[in-house]
Amino acid sequence: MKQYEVKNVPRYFEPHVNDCFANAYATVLSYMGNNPNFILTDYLNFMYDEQTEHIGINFFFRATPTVEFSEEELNSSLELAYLPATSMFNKTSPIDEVTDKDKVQINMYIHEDQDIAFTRLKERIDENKPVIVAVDLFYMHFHRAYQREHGLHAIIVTGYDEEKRTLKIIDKYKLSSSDFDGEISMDEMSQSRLSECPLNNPMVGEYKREIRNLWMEIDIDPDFKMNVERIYSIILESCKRMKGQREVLGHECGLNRMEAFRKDLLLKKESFMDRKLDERETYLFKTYYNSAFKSISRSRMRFKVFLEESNLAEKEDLGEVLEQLENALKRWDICANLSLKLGIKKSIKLVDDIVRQLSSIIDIEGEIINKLTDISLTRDLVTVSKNIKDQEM
Amino acid sequence: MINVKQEIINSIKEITVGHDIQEFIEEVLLSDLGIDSIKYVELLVSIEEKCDVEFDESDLGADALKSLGDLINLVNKTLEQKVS
Repeated sequence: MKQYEVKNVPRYFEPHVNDCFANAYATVLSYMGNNPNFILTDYLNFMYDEQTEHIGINFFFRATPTVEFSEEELNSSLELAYLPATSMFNKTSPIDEVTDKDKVQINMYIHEDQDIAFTRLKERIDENKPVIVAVDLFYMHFHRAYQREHGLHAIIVTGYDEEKRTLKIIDKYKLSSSDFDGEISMDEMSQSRLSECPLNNPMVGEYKREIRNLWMEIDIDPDFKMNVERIYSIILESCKRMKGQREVLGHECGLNRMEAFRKDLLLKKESFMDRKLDERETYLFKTYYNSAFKSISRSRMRFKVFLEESNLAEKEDLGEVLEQLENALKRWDICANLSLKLGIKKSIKLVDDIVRQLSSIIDIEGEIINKLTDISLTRDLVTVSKNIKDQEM
Repeated sequence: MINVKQEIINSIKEITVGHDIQEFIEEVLLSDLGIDSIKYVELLVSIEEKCDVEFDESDLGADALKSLGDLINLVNKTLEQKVS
């Protein structure tokens, strides 16, 4: 009977993280000595699809009945990380191998066999590598959702004790009221990892999201380095996306999509005039847009932290951008609260307030993108002239 | 005359389960009453109806308000603005 625990794993939580998965990735990245505020920075962006009414940042926020994702779906947001498609774990295929040495690799594995999943978990822990594991909160005794609500959640396993049949876990994603650091039984974990995770919402109806022992392994090449060029790549790509010069997952994105969303909200308001909001529409505002706007607000906060920590030479020029990002993220947060209030009160006139905030956001984020483009172009000119000088010498 | 403290207590009782608040203690934290950012907006909507006020949209975020004392200050400020 064996036991082992990875020591000194940080109890990481920052309010600007994307979600519980990102918080778990950030925990492991910090443990590995990397700054998650760079690696987990996603591009500044906005997406809107009229057909489904979904919005998003670099992918759409939507209910999905699976934990399996394609390579394209998993790689639309992050410059510095590579996620291969979710795959069935196979011990004989190359594992622990980093495909792109310039990126942090996050492998998402599933396996129906609990023993294989647990054996792999123990192998990684024995190598001092904490493992990120997906669970159904319905079976997690420490969470307020215990025996009340199903939901996919990510936690970090740092140790195991075969004799006591327990696992040491960390769950510090406080945005969903998680704050646990201790032991749970292997039985509790098994039930949670094999849950069918039945879910229901008025936009899609009833569906299941089988967890299938999903787990994530993070590996980094020893030569992986963060440098200023990579910071500029994130800024430049953000500018292109926001200007509508890039398609993401086959969809247009950026400020024009924000304007289309704003106009469609006004059309919606017209259609609400002579009737009450139905269950789906109430859910759309009270839950879906509320949560999506909050996520977008956090993404603007992430981008602000990323710029603050980037230590770029153009620091003075960035001062105004940082102020505008702060302004934008507050307005996205106000949109989230207004949307929730609309869903509770069913007061259609609140659409006007959301639309007014969105108009301001479009102006502010347009200015942010113009300034960041100028900073990037200046940087390019300096680099080109330096290269010419170097060649002449 | 509206008894603001009592209306706040009534609203909290309506939206929280398992927190039997009996008296208004200004130091009590909203988070200790099980009020998260979503419940906070529900609470403000309920107070708006009971006290016939409308909060400014920038006051809907729970970040700046930590305690019952902060909350009554906000309600009183909004009532004063309505009168003026």
